[in-house]
Amino acid sequence: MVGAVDASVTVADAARAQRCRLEPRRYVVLLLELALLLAAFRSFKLHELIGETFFAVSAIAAVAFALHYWLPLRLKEPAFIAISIGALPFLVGPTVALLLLAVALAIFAIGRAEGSNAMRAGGLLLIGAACVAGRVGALPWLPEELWPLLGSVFLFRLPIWAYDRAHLRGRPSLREYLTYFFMLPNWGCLLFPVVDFQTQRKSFLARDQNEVAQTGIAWMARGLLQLVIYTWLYNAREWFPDPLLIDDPLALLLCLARVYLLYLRLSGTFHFVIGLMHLFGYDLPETHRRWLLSSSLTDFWRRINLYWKDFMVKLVWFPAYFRWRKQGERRAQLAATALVFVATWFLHAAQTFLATGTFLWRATDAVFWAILGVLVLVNLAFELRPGAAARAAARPAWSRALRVAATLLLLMVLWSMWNAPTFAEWFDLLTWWKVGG
Amino acid sequence: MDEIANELRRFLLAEFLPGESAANLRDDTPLRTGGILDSVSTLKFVAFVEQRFGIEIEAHETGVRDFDCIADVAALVQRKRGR
Repeated sequence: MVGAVDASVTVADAARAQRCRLEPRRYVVLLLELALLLAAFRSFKLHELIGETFFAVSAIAAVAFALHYWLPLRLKEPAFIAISIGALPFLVGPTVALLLLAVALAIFAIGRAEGSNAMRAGGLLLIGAACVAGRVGALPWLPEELWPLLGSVFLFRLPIWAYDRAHLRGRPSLREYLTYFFMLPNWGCLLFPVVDFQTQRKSFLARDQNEVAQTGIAWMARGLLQLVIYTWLYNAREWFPDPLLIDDPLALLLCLARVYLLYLRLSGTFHFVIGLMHLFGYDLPETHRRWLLSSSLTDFWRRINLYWKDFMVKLVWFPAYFRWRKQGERRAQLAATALVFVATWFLHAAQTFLATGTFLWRATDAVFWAILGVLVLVNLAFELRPGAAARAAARPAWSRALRVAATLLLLMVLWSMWNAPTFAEWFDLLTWWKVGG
Repeated sequence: MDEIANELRRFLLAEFLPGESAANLRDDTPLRTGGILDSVSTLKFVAFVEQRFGIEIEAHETGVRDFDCIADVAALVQRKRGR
């Protein structure tokens, strides 16, 4: 049980304490690997595109890991909180740091207050309304940098925490709360993966601390590689055709591929920051699972940005399905899926609002989510037919390869629409022969 | 508890991991965070658990806390049957 003292917590803690095994040789290897990663980060000049703060956070995490490794279990999470909060004023400034802490404590007090869930929800909505007011400039005495940070920390994680708070027995502890909302890597990466509260709690030292850290370093290396490719794609404009000067199908394909692969920035940073969390014992699951090898759109949805998918499944898909399932399993699943895409579109737009101050009302964005939603629905309807799974498993390798290629092409086209400022510009790109090359 | 866990394992192996050895699907193998169950297959698993053990699962009980490994699901079943 999360958030309350019971026998299972003691048993779990005893198991975790055993997993804090100290292995000096392995420790040295881990530190060397981390130093190499940071050196590679600098030498590939990733900080120029990804940000100095991102690098600073990574360096702080590496130094902190060197000390954190030796701490006994009872001090590990308090130390992680202390490092995360202690680094905040240096990275975002003391005023923003203090304000963030004040908002966080106010939310915690609301969460712990006696009374109904509706009353607590009302309190949280009031804070949300103040954030909206601040973002549109109604609170000019507060620093501008506060709003993107508040959005990054609370917009998605707060609903998860509140949902779990409403359904778990016992009151949440301050330690669990601060560990969830004050994650050091978040300060260097405002577009942060939507970590699940229960998953974070359960993943803490779920394996030996040396193995968890090694997995994290492997993911950081994978993330670094993706960021190197991204940086090359971003800078190597001369290697790719100018979208305004497309004059043959191959040039168009290269252009679409480049736009799609720019997503490596998000995939790479997510690998890196979740890898950093592993250094402190959080054995979190991977954020992306070979998304370039998706064989259908439902498969794509299950491979890309998995934390977002899990967030939607937890707060939208399952609740909607369980509410509607008495009206038919299939219908409930399809309706819940449709709702997920509406929520995804809206929440992405809300995220942009807190980050930039402008709500994302772009036609290409809305149509992208609508098309993706409809195609995933159709795909899901096919998958839910009796015998569909067996037929899919029996497909020969060439058929699967063809599906991967077709899915990739479809996604590249959709992605180019999503990234186009207007439909007119997107149509011009796809119909280069009409424009005249 | 062991009997419940074994039934769950048999179902998972037959339905989602055909050909896999039972020894590789331990009681603590992560099912959802490990990528064995996606959202649709989780619902199939929920339907099996409800039907086989005569209990009703609620949406919030399908989270990682109660539904990420055989041991947790078996504990949930036992808890709900004991009520």
